[in-house]
Amino acid sequence: MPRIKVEESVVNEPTVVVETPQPVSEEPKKVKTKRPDDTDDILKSKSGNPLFSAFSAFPDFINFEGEDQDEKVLLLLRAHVVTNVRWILITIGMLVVPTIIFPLLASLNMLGGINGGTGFVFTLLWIAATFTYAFINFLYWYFNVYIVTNERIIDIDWYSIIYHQTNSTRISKLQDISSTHSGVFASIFDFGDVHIQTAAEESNFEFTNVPHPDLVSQKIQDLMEEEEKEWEVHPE
Amino acid sequence: MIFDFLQFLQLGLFIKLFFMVLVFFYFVFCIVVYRQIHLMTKVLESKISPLVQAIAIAQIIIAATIFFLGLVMA
Repeated sequence: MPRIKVEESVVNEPTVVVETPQPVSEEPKKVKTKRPDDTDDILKSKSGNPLFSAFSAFPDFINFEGEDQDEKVLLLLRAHVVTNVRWILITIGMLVVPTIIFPLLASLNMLGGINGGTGFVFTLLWIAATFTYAFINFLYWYFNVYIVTNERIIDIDWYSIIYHQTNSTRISKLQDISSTHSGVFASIFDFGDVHIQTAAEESNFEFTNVPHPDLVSQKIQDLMEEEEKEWEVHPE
Repeated sequence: MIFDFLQFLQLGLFIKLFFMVLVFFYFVFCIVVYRQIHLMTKVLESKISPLVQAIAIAQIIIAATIFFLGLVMA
């Protein structure tokens, strides 16, 4: 028997192709990059109250020693608020002592030689010292600031109760900048370090545990580019 | 019995003396803190600088009060 070959026919549905005239562009397609204005908008959206915030963009009521007349503060940075948790917990622990530990010791007759008056005044001293401990730790956080202006960056450090240091360098002296997140908390709360390398004769800068380190380094890079452009126009 | 009383008195005196020295150091420390805050508020001026200084002064007053309370009560 002759084999009958059945060919499958593919039925193509008619498609309507509407051709619209495309504008012919001779210029290559530009890739959208972050402009300084975009960075400023993002910084403003992330900014908090300059008085108590760790990240403040374009703060109005902040001045620092040695500020020039035409200098404008762009960023005011402190360590992220989360870094304060340790001393806050210690303070709470210290406040618990006079309410629980002292009465417990008294009930066990372990405060021999301490009369009621001494105990009362000692409790007052303990509470005052606890408050001082919290206050000083707050001040360490509050006065350890990093300031970025349109002209330079400033690092104000208050290391101990009797020693503080202020470093600053011009934006034109900056050479390289990088940011790092290290640790679980740093990743969760988006804080980290910003490393700023300056010209050889100047000391390097490190912004420690600041919020949004990528944004900060982006802003400083923008300033460096602006400074470079300005230098090309006015080399002096 | 008299010996026990004297021993107790000496112990109490020692504790009081130790306590008063402690409060005195706390008082001096508060003054140093105020001095540093005064300097730092010049380095970084903000709206809450007067408040911070006021708290530091309040601390000195509290330390002085505790010292006098210690002299009278302890």
